[in-house]
Amino acid sequence: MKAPKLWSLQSKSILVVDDFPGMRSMMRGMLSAYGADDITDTSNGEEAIKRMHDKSFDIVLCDYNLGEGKDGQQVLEEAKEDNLLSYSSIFIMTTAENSMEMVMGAAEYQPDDYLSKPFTKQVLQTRLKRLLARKSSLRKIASAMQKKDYSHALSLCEKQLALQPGNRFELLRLKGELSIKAQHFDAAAAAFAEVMAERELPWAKLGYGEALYHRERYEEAKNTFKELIKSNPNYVFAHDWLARVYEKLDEPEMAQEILTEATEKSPKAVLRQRALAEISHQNEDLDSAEEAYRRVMRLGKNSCYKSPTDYASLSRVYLQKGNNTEAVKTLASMKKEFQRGKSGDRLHAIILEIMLYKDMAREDEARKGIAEAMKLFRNNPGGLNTPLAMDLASACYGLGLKEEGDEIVRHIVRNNHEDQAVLDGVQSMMEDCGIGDSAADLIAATRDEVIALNNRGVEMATNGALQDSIKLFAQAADGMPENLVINLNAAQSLIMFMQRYGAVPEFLEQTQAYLVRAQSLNKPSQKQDKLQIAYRKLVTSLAKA
Amino acid sequence: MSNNAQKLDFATVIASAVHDMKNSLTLLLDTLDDTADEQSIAATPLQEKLLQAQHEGKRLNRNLIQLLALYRLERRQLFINITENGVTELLEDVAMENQQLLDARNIKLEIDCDRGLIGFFDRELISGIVNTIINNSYRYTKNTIRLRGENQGCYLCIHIEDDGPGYPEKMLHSESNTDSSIDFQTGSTGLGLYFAAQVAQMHSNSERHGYTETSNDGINKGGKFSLFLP
Repeated sequence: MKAPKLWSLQSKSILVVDDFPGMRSMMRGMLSAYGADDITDTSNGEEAIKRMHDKSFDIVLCDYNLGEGKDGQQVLEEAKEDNLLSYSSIFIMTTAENSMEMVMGAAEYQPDDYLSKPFTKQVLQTRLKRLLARKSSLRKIASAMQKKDYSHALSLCEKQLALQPGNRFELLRLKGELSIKAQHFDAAAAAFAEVMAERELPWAKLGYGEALYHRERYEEAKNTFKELIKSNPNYVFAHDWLARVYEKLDEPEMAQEILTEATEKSPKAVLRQRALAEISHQNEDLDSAEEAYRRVMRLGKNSCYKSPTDYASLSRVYLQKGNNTEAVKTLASMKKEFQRGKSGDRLHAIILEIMLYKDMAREDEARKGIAEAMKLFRNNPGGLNTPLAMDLASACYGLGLKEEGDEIVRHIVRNNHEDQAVLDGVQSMMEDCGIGDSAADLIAATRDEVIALNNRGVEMATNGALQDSIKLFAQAADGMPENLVINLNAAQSLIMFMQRYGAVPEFLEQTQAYLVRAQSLNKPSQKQDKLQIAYRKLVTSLAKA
Repeated sequence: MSNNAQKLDFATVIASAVHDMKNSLTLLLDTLDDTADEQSIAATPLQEKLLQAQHEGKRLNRNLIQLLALYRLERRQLFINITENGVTELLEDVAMENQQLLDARNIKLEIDCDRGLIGFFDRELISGIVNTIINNSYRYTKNTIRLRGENQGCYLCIHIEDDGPGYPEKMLHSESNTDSSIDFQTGSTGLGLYFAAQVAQMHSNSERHGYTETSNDGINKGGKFSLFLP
């Protein structure tokens, strides 16, 4: 046997979050006893998020109950959504409550471990030791996941599984989840089925059902989730998925019923409440929708999932109920909530407001909103995504503001010049607004502009003017962040440059950013896979150099 | 919030009170742990007293957890979270938690389990049970407590054996007469056994449910507690 290495937390950056000062100093003491020399502590969730923006932590120990403000689950959600936690860092939720309730309350993310109070130094050490060992055995996979390079992560996962490791179930779970991300649904189903053959663990059955859902085998998915709920009535994730299945099966009333049940069992999850609000609204059950949206707002107060859409939807519910006073009030509070937020959120709020004012036939207010929206848009065109842009354009045309409408349409076409579904959507939106005649020309002209620009960049690259090509595509990608071809070509010109002159960290970072953006557009392509591979080679070449 | 005035929800009251009590207990136990660890008092009567105090603190904590869990159980709000766990790791964890206390009384703790043995159970609840039983044994055993893990047919078995005088007649029970013979009015031992039986019962796998047994087949006819999990 090898001599055991001394285990220590030295040089690990650690964040401790607890509202109780005595607890923070105790944790400091425990951690220092194991050599920790880089500990930050804070008393509330808002501070914790700030600290995580400033610095990335290897280990976060966060209490669930933090008094006023964000709770531990909200800290975790925001950290994950904002990419403040890498796949290799550890998040432990400390808690005085029964951890199962928190598991139930969770919707999107779960911590790496729960640690219930009181715990001793030794228990903390064993848990940390085990988690650090686990993370280190998955280090390579985690780094591929970080880069959203799911196919590479999958092949690493396969390799480890072939070694018949002790953590086979964990790897199978990872394989299943990665396969779903990479849209290999058959492989995902197979991974989960392999676990189920040995033991019907809830997560495996859930994953299996999820794979069925993605393969559009809704009847089978329905039965799987129903069975799961029968044997684990409190496993709310199964309710979430069953509701999605019912929507696909065109049974929205059933979906609402299931989600009502789920929100009673786990009342704190914002996303679940929102799903219930939306389906109730769709079912024209206005009273339920109103209640659910109000809960979303109350729960979302400290949450990263807070969104202007909820306010706008509630306002719409009031409008449908004939209660214009409440509708306007809700809009006012939306404006107040988001006026100091991110520019994207502000723009979002204004566009929703414009549409509601338009529906209320209050044209002056709507026009004022459009002027404001255009200003925000011109300052930061990248902040306007396609669905919102469609709403804004249609509002402009509806109020006779053709110039503004055209400007927005050009933005949409630039971002989607090869996406026929979006272009068709623009066409029919313009037809609905009574200006279908000019649509085809406007779309074609804008598309040709992008094609010409793209061709110019490609030509530069083929002629060896790689730096010019990099500059051109970088500029283009700033203005059209949702354009897949432009993003991929921006990555390609960087890759070609590095293939010729050698890899440099700065360019690798830029390349990765374009590839991640392309990945997030969810339009898988062969070109993208090829670029990922080329990128990976460059990373290794730099590491070897 | 608007519904504050409506009614006092007892579950919420308990939850927040427990939250507070547990924070206090954590600090109390940590202070005791650090003080008992001081070199200057090693192997002195003072250290033994501190360890004894710590032991009582842990008992208090376990009772608190059990009480809350039983309350939830009655209201059908106790959920279990079954995961895949290494059995040796579980036994080692529990052993480590009790090491100091047992050392002070010169009680030997043995673990007899295959390293690769895997079990499916709620880690928190099961380690709580093993802890409780070790603490019962601690009060009655002479020299040794043995933790054993093994597979028996469709069940994972965890045995906690000691070399004390064994369980009194009325505390003995087996799979067939679980409910009737566990009398939780006999004090904390009874409550612990009752809780263990309830938690075991909640573990199920394709129609099979878990159960507990007490017997006097331990070391030299000492007490033996067995947990069977499907």
